[in-house]
Amino acid sequence: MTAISVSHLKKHFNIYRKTAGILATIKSIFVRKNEVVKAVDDISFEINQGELVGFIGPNGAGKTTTLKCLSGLLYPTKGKISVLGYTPYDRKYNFLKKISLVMGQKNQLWWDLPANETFRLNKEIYEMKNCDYQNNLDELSTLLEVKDLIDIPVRRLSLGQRMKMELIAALLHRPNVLFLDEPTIGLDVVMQKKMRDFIAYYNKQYKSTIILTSHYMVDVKQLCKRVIIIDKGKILYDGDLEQLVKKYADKKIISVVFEKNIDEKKLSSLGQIKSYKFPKLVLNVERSKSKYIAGQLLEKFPIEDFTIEDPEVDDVIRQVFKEANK
Amino acid sequence: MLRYLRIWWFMSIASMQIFFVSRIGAVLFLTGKILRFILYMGFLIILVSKTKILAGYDLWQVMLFYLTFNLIDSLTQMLFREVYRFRQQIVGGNFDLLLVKPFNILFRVLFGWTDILDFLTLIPFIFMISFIISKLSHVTILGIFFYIILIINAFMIALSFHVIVLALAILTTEIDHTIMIYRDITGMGKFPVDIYKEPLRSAITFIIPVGIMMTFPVKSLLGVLSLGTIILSITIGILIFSGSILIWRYALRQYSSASS
Amino acid sequence: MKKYLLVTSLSLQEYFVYRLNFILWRVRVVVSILISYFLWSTVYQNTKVIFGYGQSQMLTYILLTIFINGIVLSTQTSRVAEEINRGSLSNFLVRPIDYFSYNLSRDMADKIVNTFFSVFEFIILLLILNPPVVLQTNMYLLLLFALTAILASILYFEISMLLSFIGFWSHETWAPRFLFFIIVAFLAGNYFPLDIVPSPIFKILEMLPFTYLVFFPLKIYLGKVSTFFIIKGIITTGIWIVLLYPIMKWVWIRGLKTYTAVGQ
Repeated sequence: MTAISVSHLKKHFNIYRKTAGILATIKSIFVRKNEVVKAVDDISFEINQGELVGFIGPNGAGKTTTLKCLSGLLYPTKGKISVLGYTPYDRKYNFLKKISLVMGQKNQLWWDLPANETFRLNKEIYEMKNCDYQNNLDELSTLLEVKDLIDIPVRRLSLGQRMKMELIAALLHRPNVLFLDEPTIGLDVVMQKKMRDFIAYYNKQYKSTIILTSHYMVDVKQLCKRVIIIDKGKILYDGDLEQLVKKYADKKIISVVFEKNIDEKKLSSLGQIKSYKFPKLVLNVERSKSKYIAGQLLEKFPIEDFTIEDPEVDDVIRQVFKEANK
Repeated sequence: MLRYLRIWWFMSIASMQIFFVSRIGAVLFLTGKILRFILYMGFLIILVSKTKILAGYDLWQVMLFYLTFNLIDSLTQMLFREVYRFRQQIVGGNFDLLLVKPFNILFRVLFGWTDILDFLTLIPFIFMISFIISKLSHVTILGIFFYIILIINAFMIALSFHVIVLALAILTTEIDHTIMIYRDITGMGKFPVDIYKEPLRSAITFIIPVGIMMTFPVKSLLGVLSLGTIILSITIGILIFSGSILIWRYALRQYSSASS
Repeated sequence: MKKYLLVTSLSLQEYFVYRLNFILWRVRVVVSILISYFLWSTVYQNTKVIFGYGQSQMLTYILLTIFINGIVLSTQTSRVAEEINRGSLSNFLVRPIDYFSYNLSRDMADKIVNTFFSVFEFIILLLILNPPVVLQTNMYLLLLFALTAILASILYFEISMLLSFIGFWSHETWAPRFLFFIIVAFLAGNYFPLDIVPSPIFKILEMLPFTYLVFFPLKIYLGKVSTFFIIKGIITTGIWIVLLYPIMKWVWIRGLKTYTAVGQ
């Protein structure tokens, strides 16, 4: 069942250019150069209920803009959007009750009061039944391990704890569609993993549709089966992540740990040296030759440890961007 | 000494450049202050023209009190604008960065953001005050001399209060309201403190010396202040100043011994 | 409906958290009233009646401004401009909650707390200063006083929201509001009853909405007003309320269009 349908979405912004200096300032009172930034430039995709999709792309690619269009915060310059059968921009209450938007650093919690006050308010805003509210709250706060923190003023909590509270506040009403904009930004490594685990669990358990934007590869790798790669407002790739890796993985990566120091010149004939710092060597070799090269290495050199891997997702995506920019 | 003057000049120029970035804001602020001054003065003129005297002073004298208050108040606000940003610096940790610089920290947090724009408003005040003085009868050179001395004294007291406010900010991080309360209480000096009933009058003459700051300069100009009172005022000014420096030093000691 | 009551409740709780802050704010309010009070007190040392006001009337007027300010001019709508600028507005747009009602609910909390304290302060000032005051006993006038005060709050809400919408088009939000406060303080009659100004100026003031925020309700309380004056005033207030409502809504919609929910 289609949850989200986007058709030829375009979102353009007008920005004004002004050079520095007093003369330019005075001139700018009369004349300003108008420039159109195409944040989103004709994208289309469909997402089914229950999918967990990752939007990846560099800063300024258009990920956040797309998310904001989907949640009704921005109205499209052109194109059609349908989320759960509604037009987001109408911002109908029935639509808003079914979605949730979490933007990295932006809080909806009342800063000076305990989190549970904000939760109570959300209960009323989303018109939840008492039992649903209590159940959801208990479950979420237990899962995120913050059950005994919900009556402490928010400003006394650490960043990680606050993020968890934000998440609870966003999920209390069991939204059908969840938009997560850079949910792991600013968190430490341990928190990031916890966040990812939680999102994965939530998606599996409640079959809610989740769209996640991130520029951390590791988020995407762990969570998303399907990725949409955006750059400069256009979709570069929309599909299975593994397929993507395979498609662009005409290379394999061989990592070797040597017993003895080997002259670099002897190694350069084997393949492209990505890095060589004794005792570790990382080589890029073509997929077809990888078996042969592997054999050569093991035969000719004293080796302590040896691995062959597919290229990193990061590298793959970097390559996708490079090719798109050619 | 010269080095400090140069650095102060640079900081002021920097604050002026910020003016060009948020020029509309700065202009609106200025407009607001000018408007408030003009409207209130208009009100005073309407009022005292009708009543002929206020607490024994005629219209010109009342205006002189009002203008002197504005002069001192504008001067202090102009020079000490940085104090209003102080809370930011303490809470944001910027203060530590300032402490490690080879530059007197007190000078930096007092004078770091002088508002050159406010300086423009001083000039009309000085003109208006001079004009009124010329209109008054029995004004002596000595009177004018003491007038200026006591204005400098007022400035010194204002300086001391700002230092105390800064010290309190370090000790308690509460500053926004302390500084505004200072402004409100000194605001009582826009009229001669004679209008206030005892014991309030004594309180604001000697305890929080608004009277010494705002009323006494004009009174000395008008010749109604005894030499003894003038000397007392200056002594109190010096005492308050020394006290404020002591409190500041104490606060700094407390700060560096506390963890973040 | 319940959600908005909860908003008021939460807002009230915030005051409790910032109680020191709030107490200091009330101290400031009282100090500024004292200046006006003593000024007029001194004036009446030499005159019995001035500008048509006797001592008790003028002093009552000045002291009651604290109370009226609590009801009419207490607002949190100045936060709207900041919420727009910071992008926090997005939090409201993605939720099924009406931003206007939300602000009204927040304002209720502000008005409740400030009015409550103002009554308290008024009584204390009465006890300490012991001024001659006018205690209005005419029920009719008291009801009108209450009515005009409520109308004034609605009017001020609209004006203040409109001012806050500047946030859609400018990063300068505090400076315009600063200027606005100064203008309102004078034109609403916070420093002096507006009819002491020369007649032609007063005629202009009567057409502006600000007159009906503080001066008009207080004048009714003091009594000695003609029915014509009352009716004219209420109608003018009504006209302004009705006029500003669609303008407010229109600017809001235009503003939303421009609003690009600011990213990180």
